[in-house]
Amino acid sequence: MRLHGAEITESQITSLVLALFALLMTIRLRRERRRAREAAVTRLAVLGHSPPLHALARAAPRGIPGGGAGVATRGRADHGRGAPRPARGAGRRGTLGVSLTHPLKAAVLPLLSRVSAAARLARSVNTVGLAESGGGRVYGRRRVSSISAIARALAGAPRVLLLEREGGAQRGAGAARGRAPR
Amino acid sequence: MLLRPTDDAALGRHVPPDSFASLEFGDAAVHPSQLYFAIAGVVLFVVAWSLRDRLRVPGTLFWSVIFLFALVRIPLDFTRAYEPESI
Repeated sequence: MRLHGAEITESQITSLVLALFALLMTIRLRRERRRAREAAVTRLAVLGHSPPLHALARAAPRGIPGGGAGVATRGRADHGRGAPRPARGAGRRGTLGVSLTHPLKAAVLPLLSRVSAAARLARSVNTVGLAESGGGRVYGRRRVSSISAIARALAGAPRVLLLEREGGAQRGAGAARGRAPR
Repeated sequence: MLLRPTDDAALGRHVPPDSFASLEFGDAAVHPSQLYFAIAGVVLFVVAWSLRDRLRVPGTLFWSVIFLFALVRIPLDFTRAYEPESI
């Protein structure tokens, strides 16, 4: 066999195949190791718009101080533009909970299975623990199984988001008009 | 495996007249491909030794050496001569 005038031997073809196989094996081993590491790490997610938290999550996507991993959400959720969408990896195994920012702190209240006394008094939830993933703390009246579930549930709460943005008085007015927060 | 004749005066070597290779090549200069492979092996070892701390995932160093050896083997094979029926 000849290629551009050079004689290609079976040995060279075999070497080429071997090189490709070795390259694939190396890539596979590294990928498996990365997946194992990601599954072992504690993940934290941020829903809503919080520049400091998002900056922290993006700056250290694989290791926030304290042994966690940050996952930021895409887009701003607090301007009535629709529901927050968890970023890639936000709902992976190992996610223990999600940190919410206003106005989601209040909007998420009806979704939770247990709420601490302080959070109930303040009508504001700062952290949601996910029961299925082994989180120690679960707040709310309804069990929340995943971050995606939270995001889907909050998809129908644009009014709540709008009222929150415009202040507490508007919130009361909205409730009087029958816009019950979901 | 046989040695491949070359016109390169710097690299070409003459095999001893009473050797087996001289039956094939006579007094023609040939590539000392055995030396090339030996040097490549030493270089590969040095590279692998320097990578041992960087490639921490078990198995990746092994496959990296296999990958590098296969890459080195391809150009070095141009300095070797095979029997026509084996090509």
